[in-house]
Amino acid sequence: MHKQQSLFIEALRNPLTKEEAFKKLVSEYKERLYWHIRKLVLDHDDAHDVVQNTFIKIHLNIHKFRENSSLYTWMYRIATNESLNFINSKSAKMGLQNQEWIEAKADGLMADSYFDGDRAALKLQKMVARLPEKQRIVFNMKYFDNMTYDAISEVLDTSVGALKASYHHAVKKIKTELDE
Amino acid sequence: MNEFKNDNPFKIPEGYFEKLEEQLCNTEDTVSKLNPFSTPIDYFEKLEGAILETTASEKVFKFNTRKIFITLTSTAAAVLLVLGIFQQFPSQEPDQEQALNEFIENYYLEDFDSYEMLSMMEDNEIELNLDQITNP
Repeated sequence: MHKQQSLFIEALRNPLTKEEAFKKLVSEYKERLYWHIRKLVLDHDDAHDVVQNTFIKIHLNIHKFRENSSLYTWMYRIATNESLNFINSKSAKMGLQNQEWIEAKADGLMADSYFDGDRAALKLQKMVARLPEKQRIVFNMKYFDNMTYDAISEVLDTSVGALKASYHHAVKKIKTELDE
Repeated sequence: MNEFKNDNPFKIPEGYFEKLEEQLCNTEDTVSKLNPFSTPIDYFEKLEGAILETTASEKVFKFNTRKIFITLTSTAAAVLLVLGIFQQFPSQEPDQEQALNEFIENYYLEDFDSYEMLSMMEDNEIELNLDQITNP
């Protein structure tokens, strides 16, 4: 597996094979990265912009990839950072806090033509939007993406203990609100 | 009796507490985990093309930027070189002129003695030279 990844990365770095390898990479990971981003930014058009930026960053920076994590983890990290940067810049332009911006997005989900959730799903999204940023990211990765703590720890560069604490707090808040 | 007090004879399956923790945190029973978000039809098929197009144009853009940078740098270097050459010419001209004057002066003065040289000088020039000689 590790050898296979190294060969693939080599192909991505070689100017002669880069095009073909990058095509394969996009085809393999576009959906997974899109859904990760979508759950963070909520809106389809925003997710589309962020996923494109993410792949541009991957394309431009593949030579900087140190191979001390899996390629997917590295790309996931870029996607997470791009999503957070996007939220930062959008909320700053509107003179809002990040959380206010994301809560406004969640409030507008029912009118979004690309949101098919029922009332319970909408309620959950609104509650997730109210979580502090770190807890929101951890909750999305753990609950919706079923990622292990170890994998999340690699992506977010945070200790497993801290992640567990964040997830516990997030779940507790959501459960409390659901019971109300 | 006391020697058994701290021994726990019970065993648990490997990784039990990790799994237990996840089970306790699992809220699947209360809220659906189904993805409530959707995308336009054929979005992912089109997305691939859009990404590849963007990265290709990024490359063209990068190439053009590099080309423009090289062109501008070489133009600036050429202009500076030309300016440098032109700046050198005026400074060379007085030098050449000065050298020629000195040559002519020396050529003529070689054959004159000091009396003849004094006779060719104006009165104020003689006074000026005398002042320079007397004042250290």
